[in-house]
Amino acid sequence: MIVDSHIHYFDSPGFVDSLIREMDDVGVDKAVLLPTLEDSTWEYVGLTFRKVDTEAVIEACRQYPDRLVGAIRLDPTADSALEEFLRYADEDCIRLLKLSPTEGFRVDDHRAWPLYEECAKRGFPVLIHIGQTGGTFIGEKLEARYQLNSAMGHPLQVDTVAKAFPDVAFIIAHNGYPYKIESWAAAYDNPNVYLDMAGSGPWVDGTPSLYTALGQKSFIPINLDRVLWGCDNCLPISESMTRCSAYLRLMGAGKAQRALAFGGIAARLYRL
Amino acid sequence: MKIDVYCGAFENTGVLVEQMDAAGLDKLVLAAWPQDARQNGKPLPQNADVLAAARLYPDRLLACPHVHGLASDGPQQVARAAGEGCAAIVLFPQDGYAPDDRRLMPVLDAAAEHKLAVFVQAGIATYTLLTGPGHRRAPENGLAYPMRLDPMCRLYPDTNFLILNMGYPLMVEAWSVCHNAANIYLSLGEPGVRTTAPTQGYCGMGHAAFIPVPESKLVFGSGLDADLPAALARFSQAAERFFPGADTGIFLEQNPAALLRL
Repeated sequence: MIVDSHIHYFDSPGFVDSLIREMDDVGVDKAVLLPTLEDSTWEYVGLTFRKVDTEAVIEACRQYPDRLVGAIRLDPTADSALEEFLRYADEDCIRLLKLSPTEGFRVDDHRAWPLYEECAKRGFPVLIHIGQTGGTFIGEKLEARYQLNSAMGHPLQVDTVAKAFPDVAFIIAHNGYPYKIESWAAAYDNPNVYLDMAGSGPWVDGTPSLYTALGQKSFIPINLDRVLWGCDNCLPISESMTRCSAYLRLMGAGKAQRALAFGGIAARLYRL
Repeated sequence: MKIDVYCGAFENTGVLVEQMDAAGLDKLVLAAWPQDARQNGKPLPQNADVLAAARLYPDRLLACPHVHGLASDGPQQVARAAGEGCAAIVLFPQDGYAPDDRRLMPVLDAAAEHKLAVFVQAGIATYTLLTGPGHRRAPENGLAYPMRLDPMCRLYPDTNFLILNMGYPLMVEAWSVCHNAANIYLSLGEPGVRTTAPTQGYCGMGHAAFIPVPESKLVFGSGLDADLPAALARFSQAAERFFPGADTGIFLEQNPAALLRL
């Protein structure tokens, strides 16, 4: 089974149908659909997002229940976080929690602890965007003079929560660019921390070159059994797959490990 | 017009201008330091020093006064700097605030209003404060993470920010935030590790294959080097390693002019 572990839901017309067609064209069986940030713009894809929350993802997944699963995205430190989580957690298509600290919170904030307890009870992995983001708020948050802050999420925060919740799988998106070294360290020290290779540009292209430049296994050995592929809407899916396969090979991944990256791990983590 | 966008120390303005002539530099930005800042026991230039120097040589020197980001009269200080013809102010998070501290916004609002560039001493700044038993003080370098400029460069898209010395030793964060933002520049050129580490690190970590730092963002800053020809030579070698084959005019003329809106 081939699984794209990291696709953002876009509220552009025909998005879901177009995604499924592309998945069919390249042989991707399933995709993990992630809510995007409302009222934000991604300049590099030339799109602005309005309604791209958890409810929108659930509606999208219901259109293709045997192809799409989705994530709940919320601020885990909000007073309403647990209530919001429980509102959606029993939906059949919902399989994970997505956190974007760039919105303005730390993942090791103890107010998030009750949420992680729920994830532990349900076997929900937590996918976390760590490090640099390319998006920009454009709506109410900008009017209130708040912006995304790439400094909020750091791999060492993931280390803390991974140790506090060893029965929860935490996935550091994009190898935590630019904090790749710290992300590798967090993954090395915690068997429940995974890395995803989603995106393009320095978010993912820089990973094999940095890893090689620093000495690969002799620097920090990445467990290549715990790396997932995702497209992140940055490239055509086929190109993303080709690049990621090449990058994994450069990093020393064998055929079995690449198979895990392209679906084996996702199938297990997201109960596909 | 060749510009040194960041000079952090000078003994004598006459000697400084002679050094500029020897290096072929047309203009130079003199940046001030926080009150009581010292290096090797010697006081570093204060606002009054850089402003006085710029008045003596208005065609050659530009003053870049220090503004404490949390000062209650910070916006007024920025307005005065603009009135003096300054093209930039310099912020030191080491004064006690992170670059993403929202209390900084009045100062940034003023800088945006007056179209001043904002220099930020991110990373480890090489100065000390008067300190002793019962009165311990130090620059708070632990607040000066380049990545914490990320929200501010988004909130102030029309303000140009300069991360001094590529945010040494936090170069990776500086490269990342510079790559992602159209309005963040990076300076290079100080003696020692503040030039060698970013250069060696960039090449050693995979160069543009790791993080492609845009060519349009690099500027020359001699920093604390009194020997400007040597500083320029050092910078040119480093720039060649960052951007092999590039015309150094980009870094000495084009980019500074864009940064400072000259």
